[in-house]
Order: sequence, then C-alpha cells, then structure tokens
Amino acid sequence: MAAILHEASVFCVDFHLKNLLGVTEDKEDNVLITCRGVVKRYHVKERRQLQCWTAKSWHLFTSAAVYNPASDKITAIIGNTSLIQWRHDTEDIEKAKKLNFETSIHQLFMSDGTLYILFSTGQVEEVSVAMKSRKEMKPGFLSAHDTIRHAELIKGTKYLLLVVESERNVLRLYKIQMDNSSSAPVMNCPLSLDDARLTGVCVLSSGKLFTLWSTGDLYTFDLENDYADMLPGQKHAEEGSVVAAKNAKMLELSPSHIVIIGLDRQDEGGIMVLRDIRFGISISVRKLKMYHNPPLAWVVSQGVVVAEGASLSWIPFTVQESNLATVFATKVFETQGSASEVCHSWVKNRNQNESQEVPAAAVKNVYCNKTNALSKVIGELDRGSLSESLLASEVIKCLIDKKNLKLLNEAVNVFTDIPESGLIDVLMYYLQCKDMHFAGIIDVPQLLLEIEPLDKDGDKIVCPFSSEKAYFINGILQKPFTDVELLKVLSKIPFDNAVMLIQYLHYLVASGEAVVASSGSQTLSLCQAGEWLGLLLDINYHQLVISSEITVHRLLLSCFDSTTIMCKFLEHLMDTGPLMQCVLKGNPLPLCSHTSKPYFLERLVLTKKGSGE
Amino acid sequence: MAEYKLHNVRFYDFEPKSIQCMSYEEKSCRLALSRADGSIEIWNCQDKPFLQKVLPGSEESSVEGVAWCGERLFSAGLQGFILEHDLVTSGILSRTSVTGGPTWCLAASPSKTKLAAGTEEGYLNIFKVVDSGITYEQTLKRQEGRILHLSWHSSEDYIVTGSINCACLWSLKNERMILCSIPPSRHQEIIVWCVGILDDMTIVSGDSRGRICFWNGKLGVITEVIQTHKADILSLVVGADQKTVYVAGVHPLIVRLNRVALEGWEVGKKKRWVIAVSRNVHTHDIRALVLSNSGKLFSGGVDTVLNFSSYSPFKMEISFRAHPPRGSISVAGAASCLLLKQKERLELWRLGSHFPTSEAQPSNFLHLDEDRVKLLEVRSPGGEVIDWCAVSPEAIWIAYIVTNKLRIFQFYPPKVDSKASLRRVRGMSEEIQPSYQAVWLGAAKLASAATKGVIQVLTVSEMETSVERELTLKPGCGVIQMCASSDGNTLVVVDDQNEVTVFNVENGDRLLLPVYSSWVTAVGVDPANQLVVVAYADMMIKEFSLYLRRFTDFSRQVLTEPLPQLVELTTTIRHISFDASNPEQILLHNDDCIIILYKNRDAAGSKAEGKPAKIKRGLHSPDTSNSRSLRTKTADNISIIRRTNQVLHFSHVREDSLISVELNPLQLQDKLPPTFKVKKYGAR
Repeated sequence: MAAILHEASVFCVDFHLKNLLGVTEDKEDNVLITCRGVVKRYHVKERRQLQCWTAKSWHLFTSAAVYNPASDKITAIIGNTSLIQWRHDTEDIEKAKKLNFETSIHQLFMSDGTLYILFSTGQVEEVSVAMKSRKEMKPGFLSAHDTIRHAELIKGTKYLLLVVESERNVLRLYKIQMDNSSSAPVMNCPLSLDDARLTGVCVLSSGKLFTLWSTGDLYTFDLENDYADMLPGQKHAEEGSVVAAKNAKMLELSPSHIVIIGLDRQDEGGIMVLRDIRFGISISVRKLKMYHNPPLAWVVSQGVVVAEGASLSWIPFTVQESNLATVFATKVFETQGSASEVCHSWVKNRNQNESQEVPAAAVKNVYCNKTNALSKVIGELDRGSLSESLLASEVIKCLIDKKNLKLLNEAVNVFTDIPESGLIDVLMYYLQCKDMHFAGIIDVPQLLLEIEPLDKDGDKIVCPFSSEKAYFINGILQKPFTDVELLKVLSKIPFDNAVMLIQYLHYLVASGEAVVASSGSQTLSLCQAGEWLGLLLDINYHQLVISSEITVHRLLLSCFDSTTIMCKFLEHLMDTGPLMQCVLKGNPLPLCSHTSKPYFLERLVLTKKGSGE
Repeated sequence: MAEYKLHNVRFYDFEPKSIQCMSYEEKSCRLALSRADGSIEIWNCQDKPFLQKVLPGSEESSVEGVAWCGERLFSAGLQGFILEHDLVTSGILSRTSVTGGPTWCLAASPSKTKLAAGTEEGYLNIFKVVDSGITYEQTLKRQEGRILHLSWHSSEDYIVTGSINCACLWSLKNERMILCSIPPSRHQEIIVWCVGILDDMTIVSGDSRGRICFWNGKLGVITEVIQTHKADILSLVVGADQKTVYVAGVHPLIVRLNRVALEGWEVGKKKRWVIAVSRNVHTHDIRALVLSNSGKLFSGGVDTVLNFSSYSPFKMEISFRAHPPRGSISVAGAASCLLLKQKERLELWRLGSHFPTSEAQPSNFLHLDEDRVKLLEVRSPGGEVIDWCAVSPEAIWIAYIVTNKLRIFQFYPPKVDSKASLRRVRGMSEEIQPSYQAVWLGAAKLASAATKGVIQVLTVSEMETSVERELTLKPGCGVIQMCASSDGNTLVVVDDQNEVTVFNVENGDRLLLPVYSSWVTAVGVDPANQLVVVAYADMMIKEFSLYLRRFTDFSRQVLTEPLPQLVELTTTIRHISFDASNPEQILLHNDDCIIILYKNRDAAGSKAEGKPAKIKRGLHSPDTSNSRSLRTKTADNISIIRRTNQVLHFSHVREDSLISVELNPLQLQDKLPPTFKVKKYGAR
C-alpha cells in the first residue's frame, strides 16, 4: 500500500489536556508543545523533553508558540495582547521583553520564513510590521461578535483562510492575502449546507478546500477556480468511519492524502482515518484510545501528533503516490457462501462447463472432508479465511458450548492441526461428562474393563471409563502434540481428573490395549500412552507427592511396576534385534565383537591382484 | 598384500565447545570463530575450508564478539576488554578497556577503520583502528539495558543496536538516538538478540519471540513483522545485495528472507519480505551466522559444528565437525605409545598388542593379548590449560606448553622392580624463548617454535635443556605447523606465508619448496627416501625429493592435478605419514576417511589389467555401523576407507601397526543440551 498510518507511540504525558494550546515544529526535528502555563521542547523520535519554559500564572500563554528559523527565536502570545520572543538558550522567559498590542491577538503563523500575526479583528500583518504600530488599534473586517472558528494557511501561498462564526451562528469563509496592506479579504462568502452542520475543515496546498458535514458528506471546493457561490462545492465522498455529527479534525498529509480524526463509529474512543483524495476512499485506519471534542491533532515532521487521553501520541505515516493497484490491493477473500476457498470463477466455470476440472489444490483445503453437520457449524461461525488451527479452535469452542459429543469427536478426527489448548479443552469436557452421555453415540468395540494385577497381592487394574468414553478419549490422546506447548495448558486439568487419566493410561499399558504400532482407529500406541503418562506425572508432580490418598499411591506403585516390566522387555528386545537380523540374513555369528569398546585392534588387509590373497 | 594391525582408539575424551560468534574476512577468505572455552579458530576458506590455526583460550575467558579489520583480528568479551590477537604467535598484541563493563558485541565498520562495542551497562563505545592498536574515539550516551548486538550502516554514520524491548538507531554525527521500541507482551520482556541495517535505513531485528521485524529507521516504526521461528532468533545477517536476510536461532532452522516486488492485483508494486528458503542443517541453537560477499553462508552454534552452505545458484551444504587443535595427539612410534592432551592434563597410554598365532583368524577383529595401559597422567599445576604436547618416539621425553612456557619431563616407564615415574627437567636455559609449538627430533632433541619467528633446536638431557641451534624463517613469518622425520634429521615448517621450508637439523641448511597457489593443510617427511609430501586445500598432493631437489616423477606424472577421488571429499587432508616397510604407500586421512595413496601403479593394481586395488577387512563385520561405513573407493593410485566416526588422527606406529584415533559423533551428542522440540505430525 502506498500510504499507511504506523503504530502510535506516546511521547508526552505531563500536561493537562484542557491547557493544551498547540504543537508546532521547532528546529532539528523537535516540536514545541504549548500549554497555558508552559512551553516544552520535545524530541519526538527519542520521546524525551529537551527544554521547558514556564510562564507566570498571571501571564499565561494564549496561543501556540511558533519557532522562527530566520531569527532563531520562539514567539508566543501571552494574555491575548502581549507578544514575547526568546531564544533556545533562554532559561527564564520572564526576563524576555514583552511587546503589548492594543488589539487582541488570535494566532501566530509562519509562512515561507515570515512570521505573521492574526488579530481577533481579522487583520493579518507581518510581526515586524505590526510591532512598529503595536500601540495602534488593528481594525479588521470582523466585528466584535464574530468568532474565528478555524484559521489555516494555504501552504505555498500568501493566503490565509478563515472560517468565522457570526452572532447568528452563520458561518462565513474568508480568504485573506497576507502581504496586502489592506485588511479586506479577497473572498467572503457563506459556508453552509442544508440540514447539516460543519464539523471539519481542511485546506490543501493545492488550493482545495475540504469540508466535512454532520451528515457524513465530504465536500471539496477549488478555491482558485470554482465560483464562490458554489460553496461548499462538490460532494467528494461519504465518510463512514467517524461519527460526522461530532467535531472532527482534518489535516493534510500530502497533496493526495488527508487524515480525519474523529469519534469512532464502531467502537468507543477516537479513530484516525487516512483518505486517498484521488480515489476518494479511506485506505488506513488507526484507532485512538480517547476522543476529544474537538479533536486535538497537528502535523509535524513525518507524523501526526494527537492528544489521546492525558497524553500526546506520535503517529508516523508514510504517504506515497497512489495508483489503482496500490489502493485496491488489500481485498480479502470472500469465503462466505462458498463451500470452500475455491475461486468463484472456477465455481462459475464449472457450472457452465462441467468438463473443466477444478484444480485439486484449490479444492483440498481445511473446509473439505467434513460432514454436512460439521460444515454447517463452520459456516455458522462465519469467520472468513482462518488457518486450520484457528478454525479448529473456534469450532471446538462452539461444539463444547453446544455439548455435541458426536461432532466434537468428528472435529477432533478430521482436523489435523489442533492447538494443544483445544485438545485439553475437549479432554476436560470429556472427563467432566458422565459415561452415560457417551452411550449410543457411536458403536465402539467393548473393552475388558477389569484385568488381573501384575502382582498377586495387588488390586485389580480397572478402566475408570466406559468403553464408549474411552473410545472418545483415545481420539484426543492419539492426536500429535508438542510437549512444551501441552505442558503449558495441561495444568488446567483438575487433579482428580488427572489421576483418573493416569489410571486410564496405566490400564491401557497394563492391559495391552495400547499397542506397539497403532492402526490409527482410535487405538492408542504405547509410545503415545507413555508420553501422556510422563507429562501428567510431570505436571502433577508435587500434588502426587504430597497426596495422602492411599489409592493414589497404589496407583503410582502399580504404574511403576508396569513400566519396569516394559523397560525390561524392551532391553531384551534390543539384544535380540541384531541376532534376528543375522538369522534373517543367514550371516555366521561373529566370534568376537569389540566395536562397542573404546579400544580394540582391527586387521586391515590391503590386497592386490595376483598377490595370492 | 600388506596387512596391518589397526589400533582403533575411541577413548579420547574430546569435548568440543559451542560456537559463540564468527567473523569473515573477504580478502584473505578467512573465518574467525570463537568457542565457549574462549578459544578462537581461524578457518581458511580460500579453497576447501580447513582449520588453519587455533588461538587458545581458557574457561574463565569469554569471547562474545570477533571482528576483522583487514588482516588484524580483534575480539571482545565479558572481561570488558577489546583484544588484538597476534595471528603468528597466538598472543595478545593489545588490550583496551571498554566503558560499561562486560562487552556483549563487537563489530567493525564497513571500511574497517573503526570498531564499535556494546556493553552490559548500555554504553556504545567507538574506537579507531590505528597501527599501534585501537584508540578511544567516542562513547555514546548510555541507553537502558545491555546492548546485545550491533550493526554498522554502510555510510558509517549510523549504528543500530539491539537491547531489551527495543532496537536503537544511533547517529554518530550528532549522537542522537531513534528508539524502535517493541511493546512487551503479557508483561514479558522481549529481547532483541540481533540487528542489521540496510542502506535505505531499514532496520532488521530478530527477537525472543522468533519474529523478524523490519523497521523504518527514520521514523522508528515497524513496517513488517514475519514470524520465522518458534523460539528466539539469535543471529541474522544481511546479504550484500540488500535483498537477502538470513536468520537463525534457538529453533535450529536457517531461514532466508528475500525482498521481492510483488506485482499483480494483490499488493501492487510494493516490495515485501518473504520467506524464501528454510534449511535444517543444525541440531541445536544456531548462535552465529556469517555471509560472504559471494553468498557463502557459515553457521555455527551449540552443536559445535561449523556449517558451510550456499543456496544459489545451486544448493550446497557441508558440515565441519570440531577438531582438536594441533598438538593434542602425539604418537611415540618406537614405544607404541600415545599421548593425549585433555584440557589441563596429559595421558600417556601404551597401546595393546596381539601375538599372532598359527591359527587363521576368521575375524578382522584381533584378540587383545595385552590390553592398553595408562602409563601416566600429568596435570598442569593450578589447572592451567595445556596448549600443546609432544612425546618423543621412545616415549622417554614429554614436552608440553602452557601459556607459551615450555615444560619438559623425563619419563621412566614401569619395570618389574619399579613403578613408573616422571621427572621434570628443571635446568632450562635462559636462551629458550617462549614457545607455542614443539616437535621431537628423534630421541633427545626438540624443535620449539618461538614466538619471535625462530625455531630453536633444543638438546634435552636429564639435568638441563639447552639451545643447540636456531633455525630462522623469512622475516615476519610465523610457524603454522612443523613436521619432523622419524630420524630427527629433517624438519619441515609451514609458515603463515604458505611457504614450506625444509631444514637440515644437523647443519642448519634450509630448502624452500616451490610455492603453490593453494594453502598447505598437511605435510609429511619420508626419511627413508628423503621425500616431503605436501597436501593442499584444493586437494592437490605434491611429492618433493630432497635428494634430487625437485618434484618426484610420481608427482610430475601422476599428481599433475588434484585427484578426482580426493576432490570429492568434503574435508581437507589433516595428516600424512609413511610406512618404512612399504615405501610405495602414503598414509593420509581427513575427517571422514583413511586414504592410502599408491605411488607405484603396479603395486596397487595395474590399470591395464583393469583390476584396481581392493581393501579387504575380514569376512564380516559385527558392527553394522562400521560395515556400512566400510565403503571403499578404489582407483589406480588411491584407496579411500570411509569411517563412520570422525578420524582425529591416523598414522603409522611401527612395523605393521597403524593407529586411528576416532570420535563417535553420538558421544558428542550425549554431551549436548536438549535440542529445541518441534511438533511432529503423524507421530503415532
């Protein structure tokens, strides 16, 4: 994608939001954060404060401080009428000279290296010029009842745009030429839309005015070419991500991209929407923790600074020239309504022409080989494209909620990649269910539920579950797993159930139900039984040790006997292996074999043709 | 027919240590790698890679970073110093302390004029490389947490560092930092183990979550995250083309990421990083990766194996197992004894014997009438690590070197009325210089490679050791390896300029062998025929007659180019020896094979008859693994016996005895920590 809003990072937290006046650019990629009582100099990328200038409580700042590179000074307004300038090395700004004006000052602007001052009357002057006549009143075109709601420079030009609210709540748009000695605006026209309220304004460097209205409509107006009576211009798009009825802030990021900050329509908090003007669509969205009315946001070097909660966040952005491919690149698969991820075009073609085969690779996927009932459950989930493990996890949760044992068993069997947490969830559910819940679901081979003990004096080895329940549990136990992952979730099984499972595994090993090589049909292999037994003993080690129940100790002793017998059997088997191989190949037995020894003598004979060997 | 008794020694307890870090020098094609015991190995990779030199370390020392600045090698570790190593004498040339305590990483700037070191306390130290060593240039502002890895930008104006929960981009011009912070997940800190930076200021970081993050360095924001591994990523390396990144870590998988321009409807013209190749060539954690400009990738880690791989234009993977450094195994041929060097002790073993009987032996395993006997165990005082050991042919004299100090002992073997005893020769002449290699020249003469580039011939007696003669190499040359003839009259020296010099020990005359383009890997002297045989890294073998002072006819006619059977082998020749009773045979070995080279075609089977020589090893082999390994390749002039075990040493002992000291790879596997477990499907 050609443009994107990156991850936000908090860089300034020590201020109160209601005191925040503005954030402007300073030299060397730093920013000036102006609050009523203090101006702070921050390095955004390093997220640290560099300097701080405090104003006296009776001389509070009323407009955001501006850095003037030409004079290398910071300029700010104190008490609406005093202008103060200081250098970066100034420690106490109270010692700096204050220049008092007769007329109230609204804001300071920097344009092409020149500092301008906007008075509340609408008069705009260069600071150097204004200082010469500061004892004089600055009569502008605005009356005392008019309020400047928005003032913005048109970048690269000498024009200033004002949105002014009059006494009757009527909005007017003024375009002022800043180097003009006369204060009369070059453009003066009403700004309104039927049944709508203006909630956001932004003027681009290209001279286009963008207005957002409470209906959600985004209008565009060319300040240079369009007739003034056409305001607010043409409808550009409809903004659906933000609540347009609430105030929004619009900022230009590039000639082709703007960002809108407003109240999130879908969720609590604010939202930041990056819009591509050329194609009229939103291309990147970043959620904000809080929404402020009106939103407080400024564009500084390669990032947007947003007031979010009680902190300032810096959200870097990348904006590049967009084209059709970059804008429409991220369309997701539409799997809904289709049995699988088969391309719609293939499905269509197949209907039209039966002879055309769908590629096997396209048909075989996680949605295949499922019964209709299970497919229906997957369809109801309606989660779009998911990996198999995520899908299995979702399906298992759903089926446990539905208490559908038959489908659970099918899901466990048909999904190859089930996360360990999912396996344990199903296992716990099975263990909680009673034997009678499993009766009659599937025809299963009956187990011999009691076998004679290995030791004559010992207790009988009993299967703790019915044949049906054991069949279902076998389905879980024979699934592949990663032991380190399983250990993380195995502790979820209550101790009583864990003991029951140990008893069952012991029964499988002792009774021979766990076979050496599993055929795969719900039959556990010895290896799998051993692994599960080891993990259960591991995770419940302390509880097993401190358990005072005599049955638990007997069970463990019996387990130990079984495993000891198995180990001896395997040792003998290992000895037999090489002999069996010799018998099969018909090789004579070796007279002596030293090769496992750390030292032995070998005979090495080099023969050659005709040497008589 | 030639019949030998092969002493198969598998009790040498060689325990290689894990590889910690690596650095590659493009010009001389040398790879420096450090191991967990603080030693640094220099591998020459100009032709077939081979271990050229080992700079010894100790258990207390640690090397966390190595860096080449031209021909000079620097290292840094937890002692908080940057050391410059003398590659000739294996000593330390300079020692410079680093601000901020233990050093976790070291990297040379692309122009090799500066060194940067990251420390435990979060300081980034910059040093300038000057002729006399390195000089302090600047220390950047302290950052939170230790600096685990660092990487230079090609402009040398920026350094990127990896730390806990963040990667930092430092501007050296204005000492500014851009923080690329990773928010900790679930209150667990994320360790950025490795970092890299591309020319376009894209930062690459590998972390403890097994993820590779690509950052916009100018903004300090993540642009792409790729989950490549299931556990910590410990090492990454950026390709010279800036389009390739190799990563590896605890999950022993080498993954190559490629930057590709995806076209079409999906993502437009945007360039993205995608996983291109995954290779499982190691069994344990991969701690270090190094990529040469020609695309050769070297990797190493806990499994102690150095792996060399190349993925394009064709795939190639070769593993080089760790090998004990030279001077670890010494054979006393006349006494049929074997001296083995462990870390801080020496063991002298008398080999077993078999007395032939008139009855035919149906097996190729001979009965041991006398078992091996451990005659002696010598421990260095204070547990110092022994760097070198040598035993004289009659096993009367034993010499070992500890931190360049030569110690000589006289050994009295056990007799009927007395036990074995050992007596140190105390009277060492003051003229004896610090030494780093020693070989016995016959009974009581020792050639010692002095650290100043001189070889001292020492005369040893019960009471004292004195310098008999000094043999000098060309100025500025250092000894790489020495080899003496069994009669002690001839000493062959290979120096670090790749020149082979033959000294007549009696009169001090020297002869320089013609120089060959490839590096010498092994050298041997046949005293009976006055021949010197040299093996090179490109598998060429040359035989030089000291009597005629030219290459022999065999060398001129047969060994005109590397033998194809040898070229097929993955590792180079390590040792050359001779059987005086079979002068037509040359006995060689590499890591995997025992090789016998026949000088006389008729002796090994006439080509005209079309029946090449065969090796017969009895009627059957009870050891299945051995029998599998016993695949012999025969040709007119060469026989190759492949061994399952790693061959550490193979040589002629005396009469009809050969010795093969071998290491079972499973023995090493048992000593390694558990490997990373991955899910295996279908494991029923």
